[in-house]
Amino acid sequence: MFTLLQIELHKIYSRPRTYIAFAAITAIVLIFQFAFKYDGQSYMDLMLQNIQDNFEIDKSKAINGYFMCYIILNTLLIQVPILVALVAADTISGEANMGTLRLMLTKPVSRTQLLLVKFLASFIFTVCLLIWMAIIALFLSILIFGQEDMLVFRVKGEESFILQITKDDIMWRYFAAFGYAAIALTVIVSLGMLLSVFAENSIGPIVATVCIVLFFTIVSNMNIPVIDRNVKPYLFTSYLVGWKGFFYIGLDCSDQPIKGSIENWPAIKKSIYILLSHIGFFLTMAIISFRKKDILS
Amino acid sequence: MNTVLQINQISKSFKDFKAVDNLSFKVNQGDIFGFLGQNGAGKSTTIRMLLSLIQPDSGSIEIFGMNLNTHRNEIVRKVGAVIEKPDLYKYLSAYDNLKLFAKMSGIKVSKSLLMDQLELVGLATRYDSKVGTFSQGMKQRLGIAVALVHNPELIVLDEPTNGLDPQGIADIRNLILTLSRDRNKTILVSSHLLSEIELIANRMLIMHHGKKVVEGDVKVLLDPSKTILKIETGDNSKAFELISKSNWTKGLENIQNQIQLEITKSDIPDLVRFLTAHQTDIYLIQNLHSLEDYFLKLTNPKEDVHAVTN
Amino acid sequence: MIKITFRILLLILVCHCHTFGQVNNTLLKNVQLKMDKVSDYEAEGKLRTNVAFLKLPIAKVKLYYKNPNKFKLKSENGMSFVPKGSMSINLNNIFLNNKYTIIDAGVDKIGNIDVVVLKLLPDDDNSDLVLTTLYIDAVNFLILKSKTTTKENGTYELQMTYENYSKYGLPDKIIFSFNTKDYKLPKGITFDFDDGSAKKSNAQNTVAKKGEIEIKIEKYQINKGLSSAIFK
Repeated sequence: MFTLLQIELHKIYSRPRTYIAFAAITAIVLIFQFAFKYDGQSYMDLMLQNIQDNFEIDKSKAINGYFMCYIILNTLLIQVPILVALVAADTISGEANMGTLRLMLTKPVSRTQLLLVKFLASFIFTVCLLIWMAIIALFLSILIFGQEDMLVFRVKGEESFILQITKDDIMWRYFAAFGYAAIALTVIVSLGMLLSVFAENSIGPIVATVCIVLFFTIVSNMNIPVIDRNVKPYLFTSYLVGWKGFFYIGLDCSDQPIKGSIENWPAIKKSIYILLSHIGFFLTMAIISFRKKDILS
Repeated sequence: MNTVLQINQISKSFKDFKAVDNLSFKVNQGDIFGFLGQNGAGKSTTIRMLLSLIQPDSGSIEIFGMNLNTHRNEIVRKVGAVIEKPDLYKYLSAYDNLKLFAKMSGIKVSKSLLMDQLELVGLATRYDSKVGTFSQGMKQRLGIAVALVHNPELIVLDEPTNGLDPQGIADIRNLILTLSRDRNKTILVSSHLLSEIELIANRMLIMHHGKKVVEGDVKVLLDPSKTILKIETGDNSKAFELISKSNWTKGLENIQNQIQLEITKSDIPDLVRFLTAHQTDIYLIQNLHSLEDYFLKLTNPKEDVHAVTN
Repeated sequence: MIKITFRILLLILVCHCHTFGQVNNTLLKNVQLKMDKVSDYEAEGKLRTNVAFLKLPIAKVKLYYKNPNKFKLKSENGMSFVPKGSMSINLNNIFLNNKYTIIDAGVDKIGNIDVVVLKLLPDDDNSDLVLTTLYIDAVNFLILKSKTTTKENGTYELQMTYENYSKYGLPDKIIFSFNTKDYKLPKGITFDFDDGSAKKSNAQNTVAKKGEIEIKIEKYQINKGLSSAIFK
């Protein structure tokens, strides 16, 4: 199993396509950092709106490394699933397209084992992507913008408000958030793999995965009450943003943030279970389909 | 003689299309078994079934005396295959490709072993080049190296000369002969060219529309004085029994209600007399001679195969 | 707020004395005398923001004052939402014009303390300031509360509690109340995680909101000769 995993990882990392994801993330992050370095104030003005009438806020402090990472992660929410799909949805179909799948399957390796190894390799790729994101979106941002308390702009139902998290209370939240993101993206990995099993070329499942993610994300964010109530809870994309839950700091009875707390841990836990069950479902379906599949490519 | 591969009445359909229809044959140890048929005859489907890439709808496959369904991993450890054009990882070097599949085969990989294999297929000097830069012939040779790296007992080559230039075809042919002669490998090689099979195979099978047309020794099948006869009678099982007690038992088989046997041309009238003497009604006698002519007609879709009778 | 407090006091002290009643004149003079004991100070404070849309931790702040009108509130660590003195800006204007009519509005009670209520009306009709009401503890010469109404920025209120530094007229606690506008981010801009706990829309949103800032001040270092550089 370990040898197989090594082989899969070797394949992923020998392929130029793999680095598109890293390059894309790097480019997006650098653009963000550049833009905020030179004109972060206008973004802050937009977010702070009329609060500035009553308060003086040191906007240069508000735009700090932690805040930057939050903003970047917020935006990458749409892109990273695409990048993950690019690799995951290619795992089986890409090999089918290249003609290497049939060769692999004549080797003394069971299809279940092969699929699990490919899943594991894609998962490791995803984790590496997240680690890279953490390095450039978080640590590089801290290097450029410094460490300071973080403002979280939040819309909850009809309310909008700003949470302030002190700088000594942030890092663990990022670790938790990246951990959560790893689980969330693994759902995309398993979905991509499932679709990949049915295709003989990689474009189909990649596009299908991306379309499903985009479509569900749009529906998740429609803010139409009837959809929010009846559809949203059943879309896995509604839970992809659950990492933010770690930044929704708990408040005491007088609305003061409680250091080291999370507002709604049960909701995050529930989201994690929902995501894990999606992974389980997609992966099981992928294995069942792959075992039955006639290799005609 | 040990049977390496035994295929029993396998069938496979894709939706309404019957790709393989009740096919049976066997390959003995040391054979170079030619698997002949025009494109779409069902060769690749059959080969994929015996490599466990496709699950047959019915029938069974035994390799090395073991059922493929129940002993897959044990079997494939001893089987090497090149299926159609062997596409490998273009972004990896020849050496890395070989190493990767060698590892997957579960063998201990050493540099000398891999280099020996590359040497065997004449790619040792290009071991570090990316496969993306290889010609079709080089890829084919590397594919064969991949198929051989774990020292399999049975080698399955699906159209190994497809897309190769004459020199490439000759190289592959020599390699197959060397493997059989020097390393005592059992080889199943498919082709749509009779001339190819004729040059290397000792036994052969012709497939058409998913069905077996004929199976036998190449020399016999292609001997101009010998012929393959198909007979359909009022009572085939009775006729089969009668013939099996006669002198004409060579290649005798009862295939789909047709009796098939190898016979010298001059014996045909005697056989007919023998059958009629035993009150057997003969509805059809089909002489497949010459096989070459027959196959040429088979591979020419414009002509109706069933019209080829003497 | 401290800034505001002192400006009010200073304003009062330089106002036209002839408009004062004799009692009030003495009262304000005494307040002034008390204030004059402090030419500068530095203090530590804990700032607590109580605004519906701001969930901020208690901030540690430093307060600096230097006679006559220099004041600075600085966050010690972390980021802070320093309450802006729309009021102080206005007061500054008044201070420059310093034309007032002061009306004695009788007496009142804040807690158990009797206070004298004075209303300050600016003479300038164009001033943003409409009315300032001061509640003064006439026994200890301390301003306990001030209420200011402006044309543009609504009404705000200062409440001072004195304890350890009352002899200098320096409060231990200040509560600054003000009106805030509703804060509303466009939906979708934040891609928020909906954990299902959001309340249904409530009517409160349409009501004008009140905000409150509370500063607890301690460790005053008075008259240590504070450098002006701090206020830059």
